[in-house]
Amino acid sequence: MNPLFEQFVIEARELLDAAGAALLRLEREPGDAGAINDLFRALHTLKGATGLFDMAPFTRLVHAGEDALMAVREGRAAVTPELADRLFQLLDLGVRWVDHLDAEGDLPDGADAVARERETLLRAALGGEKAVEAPSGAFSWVDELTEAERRTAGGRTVTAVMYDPHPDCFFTGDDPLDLCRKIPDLLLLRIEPVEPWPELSALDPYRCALRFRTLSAAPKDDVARVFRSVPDQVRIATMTVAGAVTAPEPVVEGLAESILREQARILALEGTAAEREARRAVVLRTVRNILTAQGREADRAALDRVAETPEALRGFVEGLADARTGGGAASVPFAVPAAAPARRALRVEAERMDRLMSLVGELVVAKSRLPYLAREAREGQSFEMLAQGLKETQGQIDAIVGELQAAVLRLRVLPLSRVFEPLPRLVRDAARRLGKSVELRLSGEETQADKDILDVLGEPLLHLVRNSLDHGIETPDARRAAGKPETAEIRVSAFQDKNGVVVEVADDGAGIDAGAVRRKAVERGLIEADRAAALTEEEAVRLVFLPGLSTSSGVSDLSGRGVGMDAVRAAVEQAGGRVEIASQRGHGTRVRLVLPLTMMITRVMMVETAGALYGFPVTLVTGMLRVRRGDIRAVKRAESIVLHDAVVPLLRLRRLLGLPEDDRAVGTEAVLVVDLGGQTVGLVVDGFRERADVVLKPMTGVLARLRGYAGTAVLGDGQLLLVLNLRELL
Amino acid sequence: MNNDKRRVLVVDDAVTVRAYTRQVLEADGFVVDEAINGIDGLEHAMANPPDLLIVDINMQKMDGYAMLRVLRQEPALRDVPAVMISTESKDSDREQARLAGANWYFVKPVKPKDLSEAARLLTGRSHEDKREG
Repeated sequence: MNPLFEQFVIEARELLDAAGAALLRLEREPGDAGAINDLFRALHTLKGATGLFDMAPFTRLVHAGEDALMAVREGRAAVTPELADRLFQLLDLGVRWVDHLDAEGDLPDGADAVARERETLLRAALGGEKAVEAPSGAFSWVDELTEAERRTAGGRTVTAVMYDPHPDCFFTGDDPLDLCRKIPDLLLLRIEPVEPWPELSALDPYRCALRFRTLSAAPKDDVARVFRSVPDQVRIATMTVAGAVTAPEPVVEGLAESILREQARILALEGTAAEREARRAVVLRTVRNILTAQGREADRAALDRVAETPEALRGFVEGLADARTGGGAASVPFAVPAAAPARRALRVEAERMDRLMSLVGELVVAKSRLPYLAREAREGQSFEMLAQGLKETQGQIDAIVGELQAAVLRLRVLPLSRVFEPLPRLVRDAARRLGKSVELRLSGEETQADKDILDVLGEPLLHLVRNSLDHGIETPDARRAAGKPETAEIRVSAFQDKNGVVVEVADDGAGIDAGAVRRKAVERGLIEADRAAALTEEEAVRLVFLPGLSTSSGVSDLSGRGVGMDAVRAAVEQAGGRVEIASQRGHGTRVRLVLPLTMMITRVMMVETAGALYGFPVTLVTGMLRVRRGDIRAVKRAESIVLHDAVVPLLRLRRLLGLPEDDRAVGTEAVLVVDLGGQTVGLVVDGFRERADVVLKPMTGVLARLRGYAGTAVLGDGQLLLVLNLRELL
Repeated sequence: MNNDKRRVLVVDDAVTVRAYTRQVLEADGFVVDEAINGIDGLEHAMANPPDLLIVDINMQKMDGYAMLRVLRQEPALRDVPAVMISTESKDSDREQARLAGANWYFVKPVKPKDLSEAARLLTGRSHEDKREG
């Protein structure tokens, strides 16, 4: 992909994000001048960027938004919920278009019509005039040219332009006449009053009362480009004009002459002596450069003679500008960016990159010690000295590699604010749609996690917040009836603990009806009735994680629209994390996602069983116990223990792996307590070992078919560690 | 290294505009330096005086007008040709740019051809002289 275009895609996304955030602020605080300015600036910059490419519909779209804000800024319109909705829709459309541009290299089909429609809607929301629709025969004036006009424009195919500037165009920075002047190969320019002139005393000089009719010999696209910033105010058509005489080629001044003329104007400016002297210096250099560039040696020599006298210099520069008139600059069609597959870009702070560079430098230096040691070995240096040298070098390299690893990980580390960003908007829209009043509180946005983790986190987080909005939060009436404040609260918070990143979504809504969940689970055959009855409230609530329970037609008060809690659980566990849920009827629900800091490095809890080492992701481990054999309850071969007043099934790792039974005579069993997405299980192992950070390699080849293994890792001492996937084992 | 290459300092808060200007000018054999606002631009220009400045008007912290006014008081920078680029095309904006110390004024979007032609003229490079890096 063209790097410039790629840059545009990245910047456009950022600008749309920034605009969205500013719009939220503006909606909350309609008089917030800072928010208006931020929003305006973002759109303005975006409009400028779209103007660099041939994407007139996009420019039109953004321009419409900019116009609306201008009206707000000048007090001509208010930020009504309707206007905010329209603006949000505009930003959403912009995001979709950027996605399309990123994937396909161009705007979707029909973008122009869509942009026009949005424009009309926005204008309606402003309470302003309707968008211009070209009536048939609008261009009939072309057929009614005067004889004199026909002499210059007739007898050829022309591009006709009808430009009806907004009455307020002077406030949006448009200069209609100047725009018309920029039309390439202009053949005809008519300036007419829109309505018969009023009494002079009734004339408003701040409103544009004129319209423009022009003909150009340039192709339609070239002409349209001139009106890029005001696409809503022009109609352009290609047509043939009857006539006789061919027009003479218009004389357009070359850029060099224009710039020279500008220098003469600069010299004519008023100012203090110091200012005038500074201007003389820069004009002199500029003019000298132009003459050098054009190879006008004689003129340059003459320039040097008048250089010290401001008046003479000014006269000389004016003369230079008149001396030549070049041909008009032909317009160069803009390179249309080629379509290319979307690419994943990661923005990295320069400091982090610099740190990496300096570490690599250190590594190179440390490594250079090795050939020196090799030479010493060859020359018969004592083993002790060599061992000493090797150990030192190894120590240095170790330290650097450790830092290097940390630095590389940091490259991929981003703040969680990224995944929090869409939430305010989601809550605002959904609350409005559902007629609920909700306050969203975010905290811990600055918590950092690996990019892969953020990618995993995004969707589940949206699901959870949407669930809260849909089913957790009651209507204001219901809340009042329940003696709660009408405005509900959803708190999304993040923090880091020793095992990873924790993200919580909590609401003060109705909570989950454990009884309903129980009934549903039994109805659907997900659990047997007697087992369901034996579950504690807490355990029953966790049934929502079972696949098939909370999908589309699930229990009405906790799910909807196919947003399954099992999908949330699956996504989080896929990334090596786990989900916890706690809910209190009438008081609210809290869902907690625990994720590792990175997916590249997995923190595992190691256990020993039958002489081999096995690992479990620490995010799954909730505890380690020593249980006396006498405390294990056994019904046939099904064993269990009582933990925090709850019955926890006990499984033996040896049996799960098909290893021989443990025949050691021990009084206590080592039990690892793991949380399998709502279900707590005790796992009997031979012994606990330490925790370790490992790089997990998935099983490949024939081994990939083995179930129950998440992958393998090589430990520091070279031993192989098998990391287990408990869900598959059970 | 080619020390003869003309150096252009682009001061604009929009990364796409900077990238665009860089792409156009580098293709034409210029060395391009970037700054993101007026203050940043002044710092860059003072540390390493360019042959040409291309300055956006509407920027945070310090706008293009203010930057040029300060720059024109610096002995080492007062005669560096400067082009202002803006979305505004009103005569009053051009006049203000002129007063601030701009030598030329372009209205966005600038065609690549005009941009490189202006850079060539203002840095005194002939058409034949297209230095490749």
